[in-house]
Amino acid sequence: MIIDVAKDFSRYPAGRVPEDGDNNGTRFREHILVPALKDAQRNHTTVVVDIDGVRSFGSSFLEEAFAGLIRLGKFNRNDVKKLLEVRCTKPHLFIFRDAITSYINAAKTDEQLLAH
Amino acid sequence: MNNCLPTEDWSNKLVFVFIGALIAYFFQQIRVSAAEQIALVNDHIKDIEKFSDAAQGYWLKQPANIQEEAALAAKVRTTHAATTLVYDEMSKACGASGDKYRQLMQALFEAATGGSFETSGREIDPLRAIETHDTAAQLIHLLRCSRRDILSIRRIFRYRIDFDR
Repeated sequence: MIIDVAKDFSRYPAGRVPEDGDNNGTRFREHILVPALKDAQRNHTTVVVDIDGVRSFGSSFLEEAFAGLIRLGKFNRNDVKKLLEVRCTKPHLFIFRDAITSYINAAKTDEQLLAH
Repeated sequence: MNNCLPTEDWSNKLVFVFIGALIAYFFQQIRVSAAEQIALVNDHIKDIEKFSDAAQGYWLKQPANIQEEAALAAKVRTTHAATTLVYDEMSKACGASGDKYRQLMQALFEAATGGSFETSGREIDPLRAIETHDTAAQLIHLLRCSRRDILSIRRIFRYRIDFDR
């Protein structure tokens, strides 16, 4: 399954929670990413998130949408790494692709955060 | 008759001249390529400074209303977009420091647009402004050091130089 962020969500994703606007990270995670990942898990396939059409991201959006999957216990890190692939062919967007990978690698669950 | 025809001595001289011209052309191309890369690094440093200034302006000002918040955030986003245009090219230009460059660019992105960036309850965050400035300074220092490396002759043998650029 392919999620084209620009077409299926917004070219200008921004903010974390619904109060921050319609194109926030929570909405992307809950309405698009989680259902797609669950579907992929059931069918033993992968989800490709294509970020090519997006103008830019805020770090807050990316953290909420991608690290939020692990932080909120929706999926564990290994599952996310196995099920999710970020596609990006435009060199000026490579930094966002790298940032998504780094957020997924650094994400901690709320329990882990409390333990620290 | 012999004076009119090229002798072996003459053809040797021609070969030397040709090789000399070829070497001169090769080094000239390296100089042009290095000069272009240095100009790119200088422009990139200016873009990072603008991004850092915009981010500090954002985190050190409490917006009066939603419009002002959107305007400040847009300035941060647009100045950041200018820095990402050469992200891939700069990681290569930094040579051995390419990984460190990518790490610092991400740290700067995280410091400037992380936390409560573009959120409704956003408050002034002086620590984030300091972190942004600090990370930008480290990044600029790394790029300045890379300028020396770009000019280095050793680099020619370490990295492939792309003359097609």
